[in-house]
Amino acid sequence: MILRREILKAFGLLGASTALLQSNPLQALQTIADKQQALQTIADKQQAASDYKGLVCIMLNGGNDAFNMVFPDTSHPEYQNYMDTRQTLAVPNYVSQPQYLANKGDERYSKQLLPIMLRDVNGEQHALTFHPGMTGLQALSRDQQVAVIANTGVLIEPGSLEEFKQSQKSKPAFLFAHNQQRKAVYSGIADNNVTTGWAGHMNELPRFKHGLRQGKPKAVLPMGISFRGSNQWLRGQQTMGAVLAPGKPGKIIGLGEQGNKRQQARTATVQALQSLPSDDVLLRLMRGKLTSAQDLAAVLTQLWTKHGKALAEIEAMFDDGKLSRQLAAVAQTIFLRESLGMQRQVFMVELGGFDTHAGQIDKQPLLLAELSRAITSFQQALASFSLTKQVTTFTASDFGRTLTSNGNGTDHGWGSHQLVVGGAVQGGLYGQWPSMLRGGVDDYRSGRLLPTTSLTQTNASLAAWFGASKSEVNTLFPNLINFPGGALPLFKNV
Amino acid sequence: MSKSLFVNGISCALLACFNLTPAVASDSLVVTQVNSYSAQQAMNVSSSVTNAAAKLLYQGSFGPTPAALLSAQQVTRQQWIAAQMQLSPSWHYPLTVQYCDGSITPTTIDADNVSRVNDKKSTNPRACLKAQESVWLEHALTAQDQLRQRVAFALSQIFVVSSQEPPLAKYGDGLAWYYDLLVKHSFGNYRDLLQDVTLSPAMGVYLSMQGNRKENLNKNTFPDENYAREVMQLFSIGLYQLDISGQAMLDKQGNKIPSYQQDDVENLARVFTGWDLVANKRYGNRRSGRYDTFMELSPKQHDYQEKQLFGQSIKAGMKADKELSASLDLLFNHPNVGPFISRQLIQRLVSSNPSPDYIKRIAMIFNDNGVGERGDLGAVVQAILLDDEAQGAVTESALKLKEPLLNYVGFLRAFSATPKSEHYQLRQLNGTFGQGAMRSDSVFNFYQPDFQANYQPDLKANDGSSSTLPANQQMTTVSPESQIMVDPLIIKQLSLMFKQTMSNKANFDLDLTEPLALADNSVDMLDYLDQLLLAGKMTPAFKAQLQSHLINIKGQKRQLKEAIYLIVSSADYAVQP
Repeated sequence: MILRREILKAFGLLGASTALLQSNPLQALQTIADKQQALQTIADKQQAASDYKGLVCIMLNGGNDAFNMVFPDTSHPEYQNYMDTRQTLAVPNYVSQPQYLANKGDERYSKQLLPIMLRDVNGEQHALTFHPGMTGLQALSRDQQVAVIANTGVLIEPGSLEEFKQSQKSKPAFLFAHNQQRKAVYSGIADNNVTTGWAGHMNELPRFKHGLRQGKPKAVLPMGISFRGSNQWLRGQQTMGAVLAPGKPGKIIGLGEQGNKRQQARTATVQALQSLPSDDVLLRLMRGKLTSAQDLAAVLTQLWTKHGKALAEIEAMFDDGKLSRQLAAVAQTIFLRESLGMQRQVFMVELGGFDTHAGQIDKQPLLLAELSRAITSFQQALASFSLTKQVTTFTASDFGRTLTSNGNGTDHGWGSHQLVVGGAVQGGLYGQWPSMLRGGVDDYRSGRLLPTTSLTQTNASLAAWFGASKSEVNTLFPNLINFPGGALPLFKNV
Repeated sequence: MSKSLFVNGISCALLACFNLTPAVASDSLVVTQVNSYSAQQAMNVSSSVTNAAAKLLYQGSFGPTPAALLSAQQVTRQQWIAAQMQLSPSWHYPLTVQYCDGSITPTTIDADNVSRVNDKKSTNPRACLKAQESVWLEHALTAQDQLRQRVAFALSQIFVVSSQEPPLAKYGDGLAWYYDLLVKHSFGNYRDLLQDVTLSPAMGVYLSMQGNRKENLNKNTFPDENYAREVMQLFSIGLYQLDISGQAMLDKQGNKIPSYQQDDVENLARVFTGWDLVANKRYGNRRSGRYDTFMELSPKQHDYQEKQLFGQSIKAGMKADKELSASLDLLFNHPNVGPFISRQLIQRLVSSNPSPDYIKRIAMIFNDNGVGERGDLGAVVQAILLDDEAQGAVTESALKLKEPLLNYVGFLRAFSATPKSEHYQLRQLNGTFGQGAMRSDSVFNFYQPDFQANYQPDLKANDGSSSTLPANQQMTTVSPESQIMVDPLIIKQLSLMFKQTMSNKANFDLDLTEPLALADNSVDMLDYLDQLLLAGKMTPAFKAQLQSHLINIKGQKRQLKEAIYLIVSSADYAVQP
């Protein structure tokens, strides 16, 4: 009960209860203290605005076939290998097939390939193509806000194809198994035996003070927030972040301190029941969950009441796709950063359906178009808050897919391409574009590519940009030292 | 010793039963066993017997109804299980078809009217899915063969198919047909189940074994590995080698030892080529063909070359169905299957954290049911429920959280809920509970078997308050169901419970006559609710809180509703007794 009070007070939302408080002299003093704190808050806000940073992971669940998300243009040296290996599943081939054209009229099944020219760190240009329907990402890429990390994946250490084939280098356990590789991705240490994630550990670094702005004693929401269920990436040693749902938060019907007398009495009894002592592990877990759900409902409902109009306007900038709705919610939560007192926030969102063993030509174009649209709307929302340079978004996935196909889809692979998007990002191509020849120099096994860049190298770069020190980055990513290139230079020099 | 408040139900004119010589107890559920108990014994049932029966019904059914509890308390666990296994199965497919569209021949669809069926689906794709969901709920709430239905639901969370895969969203009837395979084999043999699942249209489409083709080097295409991989990882042997007690075996470096290699996946994928829906328009098409009969072979698409599986050779030229059968035998006879499947069934029915010995005892039954049969699921289910750990002889602590959907279904059953509309329906079932029969987001089910919750709410961590649990307990306790018990869903579930208890706009009518009649006779209705809902686990402190709350509420009915809501919305109800 006390917790809820404090939370509401912490961001000036006591509302109706304030009058009640002032009848008590002690509490009236408290109100004055609150006002002083509020003045301090305004000063903090001005400083905080420039210091805020947000990090967003978009999980492409199932294993995105990124070899069709970004692929060689006709002038690219790997174009012919790509076409030969993929055949009917090569994008330039399938966009004119009857099966694909059957969806004409739906812009997401556009025939138009979207060329982009990406410069690598050596200044060389790479003529590549985005999948049709990804017009928003093409525009962002032309605006130098998109980094494409080529052929990256979970790696413990680098090595040649021969070394891996001869087992002279250690490879991640249980390659090609969805859940195991997702665990390895989230862990940040290529290890599927741990249940924690690198963002969770990063969020627990003392420097971030739970993401709170200077002078804010208590968090209303944790630093890590998932909009797609419980998530390992956000789990640290002690914390696991919050799980929220996109859209207006629900109220708990029948409970809450704002209601009539009977409801207040019921709420008090419920809280008393949840506070009963117990040695039972699962019972205590459930009591904690029920309590936190009620606290959260109270806090979110208040926030939405206060900021409803602005939040609705943000939502209106997005369509109603699954990912769009989650990124809209991220934008809304970023918008609320000052009310929440947050200076650092980390978000997990997810788009599922990428396990395209079958019907890839039908499914993947929709997913990629949604990815592009959602990111584009999100960047527009950030621009409206003048936060383009302060929020970075990146994609992750279980694994890559086979370059070869089964005629109808692709299988579980290893290396893949990922995207990093944001105003602080130095757009371009990172890592090495792979040989796309079946049995070629990068083909670990039947079209599954050995990654040449570790996810660690991207993650380390993201963590450093977010504010972790060099030694903290090295602690978060103990494998980083194995990779001579170190963290990728993904960000513009400020 | 306090007495059971379940004494032949309301029909017994209540308290009068204590004093009168009663007639034979309920004739509904308990078949012949009842007769072996004298009526006098039935009347002297102590509350501990009732509570044990309630516990059994939370493990082996969708929760006690007053009638089911009355019956179950009059027989032993073993007798109850035996009686349940005798009951004829409640099928899902015929009723789904009937609800979906009464105008179409319900059970047997011959080739001539397939197109008619398909046309119907394209015009009203949601209906069959809703019908299927409605039938599931109806059976969960009302079917007599509760144990079978509960086990089928558990199996549906191991052998996962889901309407989330686009073609299946239009085949609610096909999903129901699949579910009936689980119902059929719940007490049958795992090997038969594995075969039927493998050749079923729903699984074929879900994991794209249907329409799989042999390699074609000209086109650079290779067989689809989807089903080959998941049938091993999720449906049979698991990723790494297990000992009989379900613990991972480790190599010298302390690493888990993979139970199969990529070679095995690729070879098994070749076994699974050439199978397609019956009466399909074109090989591999997913939106035509029959979903109500097993897939058939298209020999042209099958790979007849030699295959190597787990170091054994499958000879070239073998018949495709023989080869498939031989491959499934290899999986079936792998030593992992017993512990792998047993642990998950224990987790679904009884305990999230079974002791290694518990797993071992069940796995040994899986390996040999006592008369030399391997894979007898009926024997496995019986052993799971009869184990000391299941009966609460080992610890007083809760063994698992209820699945959120079953938590709610249990509440409805406790008050013999009947729908106000024509069918049993819950709106947004998946969006409220995070689960539903065959509604998982992926083949990895709604939650992972090894999911560990965080036992310390984040917000409290910030002010340095002490952790709620010793670290060693936090690290060893898994609670799969807690993975979907997330705040937004809890908020919806609490609201729904409130509406269902308090509001006239609820989906179901609850039958409150029995507790109200007891209250009229000065029996403590909280004791009744304790036995029915908490299997007697209500603590004195909990009861005292309820009493001090209820004292301010006028009217027995309002008090009762308030009490029901406070109990079913509590953490104490959310853990399985």
